[in-house]
Amino acid sequence: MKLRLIYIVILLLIYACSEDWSNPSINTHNIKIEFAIPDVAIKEGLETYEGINVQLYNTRKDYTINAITDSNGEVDFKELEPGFYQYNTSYEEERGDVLISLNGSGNIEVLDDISEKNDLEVTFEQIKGGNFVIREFYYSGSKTVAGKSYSSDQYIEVYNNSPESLNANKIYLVELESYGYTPNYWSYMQADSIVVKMIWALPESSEGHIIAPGDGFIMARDALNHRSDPNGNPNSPVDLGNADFEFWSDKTTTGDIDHEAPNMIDKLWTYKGSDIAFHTRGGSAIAIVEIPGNVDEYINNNLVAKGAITPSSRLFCKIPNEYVVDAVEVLWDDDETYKRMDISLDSRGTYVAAKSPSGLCVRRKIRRFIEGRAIYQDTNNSYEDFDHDVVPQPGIYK
Amino acid sequence: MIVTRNTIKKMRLQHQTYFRISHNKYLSIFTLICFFSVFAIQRVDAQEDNARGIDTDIHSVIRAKTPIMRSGNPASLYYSPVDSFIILATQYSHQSGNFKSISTGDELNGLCAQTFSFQRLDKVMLYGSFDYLNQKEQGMQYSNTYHVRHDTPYLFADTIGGDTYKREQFVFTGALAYSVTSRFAIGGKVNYMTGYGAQDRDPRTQNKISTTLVSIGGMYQLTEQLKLGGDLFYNYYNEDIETIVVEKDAVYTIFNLTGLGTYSKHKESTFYRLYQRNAYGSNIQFEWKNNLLTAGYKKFKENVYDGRRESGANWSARKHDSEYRNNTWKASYIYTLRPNDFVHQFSICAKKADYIGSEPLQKLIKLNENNVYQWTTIAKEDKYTRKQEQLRFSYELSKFRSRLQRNYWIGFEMDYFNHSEQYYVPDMSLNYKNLYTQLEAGKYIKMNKSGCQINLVYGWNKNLDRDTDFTYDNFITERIIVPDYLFFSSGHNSVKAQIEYDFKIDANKYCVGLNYNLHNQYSSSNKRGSLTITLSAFL
Repeated sequence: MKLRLIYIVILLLIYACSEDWSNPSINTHNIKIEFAIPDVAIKEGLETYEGINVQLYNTRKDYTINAITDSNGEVDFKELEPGFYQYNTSYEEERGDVLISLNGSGNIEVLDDISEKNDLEVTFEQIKGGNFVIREFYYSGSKTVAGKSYSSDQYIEVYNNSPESLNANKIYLVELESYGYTPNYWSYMQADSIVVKMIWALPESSEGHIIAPGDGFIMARDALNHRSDPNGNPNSPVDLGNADFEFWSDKTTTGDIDHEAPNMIDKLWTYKGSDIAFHTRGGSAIAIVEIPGNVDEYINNNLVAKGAITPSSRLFCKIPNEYVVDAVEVLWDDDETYKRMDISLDSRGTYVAAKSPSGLCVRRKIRRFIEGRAIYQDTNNSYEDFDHDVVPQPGIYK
Repeated sequence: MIVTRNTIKKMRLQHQTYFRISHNKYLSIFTLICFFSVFAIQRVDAQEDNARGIDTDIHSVIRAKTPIMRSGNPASLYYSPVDSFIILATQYSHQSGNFKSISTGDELNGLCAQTFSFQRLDKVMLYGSFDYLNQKEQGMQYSNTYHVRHDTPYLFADTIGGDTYKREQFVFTGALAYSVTSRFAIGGKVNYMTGYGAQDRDPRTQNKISTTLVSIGGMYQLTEQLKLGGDLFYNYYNEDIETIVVEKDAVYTIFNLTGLGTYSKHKESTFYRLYQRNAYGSNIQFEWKNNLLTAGYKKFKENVYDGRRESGANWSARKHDSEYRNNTWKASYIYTLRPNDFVHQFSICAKKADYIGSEPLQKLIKLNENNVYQWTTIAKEDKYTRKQEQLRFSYELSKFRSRLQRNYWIGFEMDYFNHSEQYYVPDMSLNYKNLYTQLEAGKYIKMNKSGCQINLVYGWNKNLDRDTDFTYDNFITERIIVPDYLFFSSGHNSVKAQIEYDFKIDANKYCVGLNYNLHNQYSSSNKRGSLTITLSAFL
């Protein structure tokens, strides 16, 4: 018994000495990112990507490091702590009447040195014209004379940012499944897909919905003049009596009044209610997507449920990122942590700081005018692309 | 509809927690009665013929009389100078003041019921104790753990202050020592603590905590003058924390601190965190004549897991946040002289503790074709170290008026403490060295059928050196790390006065004591006072 006890004590002492407590294993890594200028930008005369700021954001520890590219378009980050990072860079230059906009972003797992030879893929986009963009999103609602919240005046405006007429026939408005203040259940598929709880189509039309360059269309929650209508709110900032389309629920005949504007069609509405409502304090992430082929068939084939072991009866639709034409993540405030879409769609969200009901909205910034037509900024970074806390101006493009 | 249902669920959960605490009150009273009943049927004898016969601070008497019992070896219980003794006590305690750690509440009120007993049955010596604590801490901030923890950098905090924390805690201890032969004794000890805590303000946490300690030991008497001993122990600590928000549609930012101002954060309406610590170690004892030499080490590993509740999201249940490892060595030497009724005791104790904190890097990995995902560790990086060195010297003189009661006593203690923390990449450090000195004097005054005991303690803490090197200042550094650093490295004084009056209520058997204890700590600009009133019955 005595000997056994002594053996045990000795063994434990030896084990206790087995770790070097004065020299922990500390790792740091160096990474080099090379930004190769795409051919399309070289043709426009862009020769170098020198002197451009690159931001490296540690997603776990919530801090950002900045560095400047050298004459080779390379940037070095030295002695980084191991972890998960996102990098972002953007550059714009006018060449004649062409605006060249280069945006690079990506994710890096820094678990080892990343050498020059391991060049990272960078996505560049040349902005000459563009496509449909979400121009204005008014969700915060207004305050009634009695001091209550009024959100019936919410709307979304889509704008043709290209130099050509576009048909919105195959365009669908979607709202992503989760709000920005809760973890994204679908984060594991975020790199290639979004998951949505609402898909709205424009009403069917044999001619389609042709939108001229520099024009747009408004999708109103309730298409009425909110300032003068007896059902409205005199304090509302908007008159939506001329809205192009209206979200309308066929679930009830009393809750949602059907106004004159053509009704949009809900192709998917997981939490269907008597009226649509976007989160008034912010949190919705919306996108316009272009789904090829038969949309009903597509939805039926791509329904997903939460819960791998005991799936929920609530069904959502998975849509590839490549179908997304434009997207905006709306947050509660600047201090948001949960992304619902990949940074290639929207690298950082926007918000109304005045919160709800402020009667204010987020509106895309005008980059420039070409022949009197407004070209809106679209760098896939809503934080930079949108002005926030602005008074809604539906249909005013100047 | 969904929001409403969630809100109701959260409120129900909150209600259940408070109900559980309320329910536990009844459970505790019932347990207490049962526990007392067991002791009440035992035959006990008063030890001496004075008012109480046994010193209130029986543990000090035991340490003076039988130094080997300082070692913690459960087999040493067999050599207890106390054969039969029961104490029942209730205590009210109050603390308030601003000389405190940043996370400690402005005010603390507690009620405690305690009983412990020694009982010798032939070759067996038994010890048992039970503690019940009901505590309310007001004005807390930056802490969502059951106790404000200073032994780890991996803290859990929100930024909403003014929390009130209600806690309820039960502690059971049982120890047994058995003399196998006239030279060889073995012993075992089990200690179990469980506690519940809840905050009253969003984001409100609900804590469930438990610790289990098991130790075994043996002690062999080689000669009349020489004893050898050894013991092993295992300790498990578990704390479940569930954070909820009752306010509709509200979310709060919750910080997982990772050392010296670094953190990760989550904006949540619910959050779950789990601390699990496994500790084990051993000690050896060598007693020769009046000399006692002990040495021991302890090792622990604490893992922290996080989860974000999402319906059906099994992968989100647990994410490994940190791993914290420790190795502690300690050695002590005690020299005891016992001329007549005096006991002189010199002791010197050295302790060295090293800690390493690691942060796992985890990714969601798809496990199989059924879309089952799991957080998987792809790397684990050492990021934090802490070193603590302590050297303590003390001298105690006790003059005994009877076998287990001191007449007067004086004590002197010097405690050197060196603390250093380091975070790597970005490199930051924090260091301080303190010297704490304490003087103590006490006297028991015998009166007719009663007695009065007075004890005075004066201590002062002097900071010898301190410095910090923070790469960046942020909210956490400014509000938590620096204020705590200034607190722990501050020069301060403390005065403690204790007066106790006791009287017999039954000749030679029972007596009741009332203890009034005031403790004030103060630095140049802050102070904190505590008051403890204890009513005890000695059987």
